[in-house]
Amino acid sequence: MYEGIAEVDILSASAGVMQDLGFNIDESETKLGLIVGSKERDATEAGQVAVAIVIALLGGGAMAIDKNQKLRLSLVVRPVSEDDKQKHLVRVTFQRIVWNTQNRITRIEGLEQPEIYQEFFDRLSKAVFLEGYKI
Amino acid sequence: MKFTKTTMLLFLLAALISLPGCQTNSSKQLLQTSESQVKMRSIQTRAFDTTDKNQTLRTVIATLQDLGFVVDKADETLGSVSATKLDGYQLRMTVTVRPRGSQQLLVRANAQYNLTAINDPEIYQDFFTALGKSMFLSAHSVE
Repeated sequence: MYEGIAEVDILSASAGVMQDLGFNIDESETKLGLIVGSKERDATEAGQVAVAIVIALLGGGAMAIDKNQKLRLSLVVRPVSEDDKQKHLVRVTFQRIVWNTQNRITRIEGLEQPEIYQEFFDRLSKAVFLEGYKI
Repeated sequence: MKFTKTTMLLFLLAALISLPGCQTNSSKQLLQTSESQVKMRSIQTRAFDTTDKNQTLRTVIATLQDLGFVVDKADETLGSVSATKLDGYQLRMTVTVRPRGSQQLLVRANAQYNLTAINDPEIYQDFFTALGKSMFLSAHSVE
């Protein structure tokens, strides 16, 4: 929850944090307090590569391994109550889609590790603080 | 060429030795950045001596089009423009414009090239040079 800062300033700070993390903004509807962003990154994991190498050496041919992923983030800001426009709640959700070397989707999942959310909000709090004081 | 058991074992060993350099959990990429945040911010940000947000956003869009981008999304309230360039590669860029004090606007750009974030200062410099020219204003570095 963020207090004493306008909704548009929270959104602006959030967009800044998303840029810090290398996300591009896909969609935004500021009247509803929404920003959607994504980034595409490498998804190769050492464990899978090791298994693939062993299988190839045993004559099992090329095994498909995870290659790239699209990480998605959606962030919603809403006032805590109708009467109080100075207190806002920020809710964020992360998802990812993983493709393998044969371009098949191998994983579609929401990311639910609490540490991820904690770190995101730590970064957002700093940005909101700076935004709040117009530094 | 015939592989003997020894050469195969050597290959396996070399492959396994090179593995620790790879990531073990790709979901970690979510919050991963390669350079320090402060450094990246200063590379990706410039200040312009204007307060006209609408005009600046229009100029950002025009500059992106000049550079061969197709605009995906623009939002005046948030001050953001996202665009993609396809030319044998996929280059995605998001530019945000926000007030800095009462005299200036801050323009921040970030971009990804295929599967990696762009960290090269020169690329951002080129973008801001092009933007400055169309704005008829000089871009100030921000510390």
